[in-house]
Amino acid sequence: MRKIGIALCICIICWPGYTAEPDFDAIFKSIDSMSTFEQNDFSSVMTIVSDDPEEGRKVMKVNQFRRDKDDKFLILILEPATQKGQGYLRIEDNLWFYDPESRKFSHSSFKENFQGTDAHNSDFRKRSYSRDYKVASWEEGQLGKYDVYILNLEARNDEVTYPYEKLWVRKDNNLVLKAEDYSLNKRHMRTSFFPNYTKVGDKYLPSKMLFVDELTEGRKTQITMTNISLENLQDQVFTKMYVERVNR
Amino acid sequence: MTTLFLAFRNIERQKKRSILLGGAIAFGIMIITLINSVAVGSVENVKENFSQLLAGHIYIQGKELTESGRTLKIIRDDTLLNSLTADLGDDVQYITKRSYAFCTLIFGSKELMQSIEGVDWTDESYFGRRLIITKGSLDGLENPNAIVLSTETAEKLGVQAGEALLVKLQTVTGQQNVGECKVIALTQGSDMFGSISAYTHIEFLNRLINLKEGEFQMYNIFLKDMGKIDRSAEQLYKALSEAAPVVPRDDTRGEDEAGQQMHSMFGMMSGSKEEESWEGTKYELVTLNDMMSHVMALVDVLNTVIYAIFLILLVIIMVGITNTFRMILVERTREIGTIRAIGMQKNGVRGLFLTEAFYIALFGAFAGLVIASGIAGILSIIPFSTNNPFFIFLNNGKLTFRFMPVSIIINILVIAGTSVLAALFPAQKAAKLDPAKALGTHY
Repeated sequence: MRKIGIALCICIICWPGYTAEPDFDAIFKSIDSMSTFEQNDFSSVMTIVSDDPEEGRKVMKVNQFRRDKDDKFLILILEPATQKGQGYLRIEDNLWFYDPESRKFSHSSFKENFQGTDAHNSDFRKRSYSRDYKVASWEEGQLGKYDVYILNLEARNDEVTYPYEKLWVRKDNNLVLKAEDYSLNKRHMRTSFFPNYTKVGDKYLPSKMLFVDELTEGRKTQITMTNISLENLQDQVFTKMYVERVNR
Repeated sequence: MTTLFLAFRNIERQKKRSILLGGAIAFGIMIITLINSVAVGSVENVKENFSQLLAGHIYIQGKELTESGRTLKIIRDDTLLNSLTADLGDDVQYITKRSYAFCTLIFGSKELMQSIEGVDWTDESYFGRRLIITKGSLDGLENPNAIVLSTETAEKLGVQAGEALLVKLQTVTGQQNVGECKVIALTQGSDMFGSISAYTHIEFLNRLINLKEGEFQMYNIFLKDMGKIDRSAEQLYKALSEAAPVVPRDDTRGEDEAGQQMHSMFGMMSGSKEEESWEGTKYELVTLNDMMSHVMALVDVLNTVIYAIFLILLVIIMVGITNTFRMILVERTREIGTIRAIGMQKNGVRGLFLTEAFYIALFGAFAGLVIASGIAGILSIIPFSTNNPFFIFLNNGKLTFRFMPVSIIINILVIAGTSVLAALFPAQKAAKLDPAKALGTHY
């Protein structure tokens, strides 16, 4: 009986259509480590181009600073001139929005869209697929010239922004090429594309991202990252005082 | 009696002067009456509008604490609230249970953010009757995904009654969700309830925000008499605090809290982090009066400014009356000498002057009231656009003037008193005139 079992296993494994289940924990850890900077600080300049069929094209340039080990980030708007000096500062669980006109900080939410674009405020903080999602199903596929795993994810808790997500992950280096976000009732809400990566230190960072709104026709946002640096930042960068001072 | 008659005759003799003096008094009374009445009317409108908008006079929210420390706005079981509300007896007109969310309505390439409320249309049949439907019909409520929009919202989205649109919102725990609704009816633009919120079935909204059947977010109590809001709220709060965890009333009554309450009630705040912990459902009781604190503060400021203006007007009128009566004194010196010579006493002369001043004040005040009523009548039939920040002060787009008899009587007495006071100095001087010298005076 034991021999039959072993033989059956060998047959299944050697069957032409059979593929061994990938190590999802390792994939998630790899994805998380690519987008998380526990050892260093991170800074970059992002150019955000949002297209809205009703409001036309808007271009925004922001400076992004992150210190993931302390769960802190700061986004300062550089352009357009009318919004220059506005900033989002995360201190612990609070996300503050600073308006230089009123010189006041107000509470914001990670789940809000960033400045009316298709990017969420949460897109600029560290993410953890290992913590938030589990793989419900998977398959192999091809995206462009790359062999990919197509992972259908389900949120592990009911506080994750998108309860369902579908990821296209490159087999060779675990880079996410495409993601689809779904609502609680599994309606396709947003598609994200990560066509370009840049190597910084030992990490690959998406230097270009495209977010397509699947609910509102014609709405999309493209983010390009430049001046990427892993140099350590001064502690005062992640303070309200800095946000106020940098605007003077 | 003679004094009264003579005073009346003197006023009639100098018609122009009396009319000018009375006109100034009439203007003062008219301004104070109009502004007082529109302030009272506006407060009434704001209260009435908010009680309809928020579907009640006393509002109870339930909060649950998740393991991660987030608060969820949810009431899973209404047994406790129903039994405590029953203790309020006949004061309660009816109860409504609603769910709320702040959503994005999407139609094609157009988006619009606004609040959406889940209504139990069967229990709240009166609410459907209050909505003024311009297109479509509430008969479509049999559709479980039915949504009622204001004409203004529909125009901005370019959607028609009968068409479908998407509703994007967050669940109570903050997850994204999307639903497809069918627009069954459009409400009149001047109907403020429709323009602030969209309305759908509570079961449909509950599914979208991930609440189970029978659960809801806000327990609203309509009272028969708005004057009993504070008393009933205190009684309910006391009973509630003995049965379950509650948010202290002091935390919900401050002026700074009013805006937050309003945001919270329209579903604009969800899943916030809480400092303290508790077991089960924690209740938060808010009343219409708590949320009106900003409006009441505004009305108090308005009243103070108006009374300051009234005071300035009074001073100007007093100076005018004093001057006029000094002129009268000069003009009538010989006449005063004559009436003193034929037997009128000093008190009689003083009384004559003061009665004249009183008459002028009384006639002026009466004229001011008549003019104020006329202006109020005209202004209250002019429809204003609801698309302005003051629509909340209007009653279906029109101003309301509520004349308060006690306040009017006090204003008249004040103006009559100050007029008499202003005439006192010339009256004293007239009374003290020596009849012989007065008779011999030539100007």
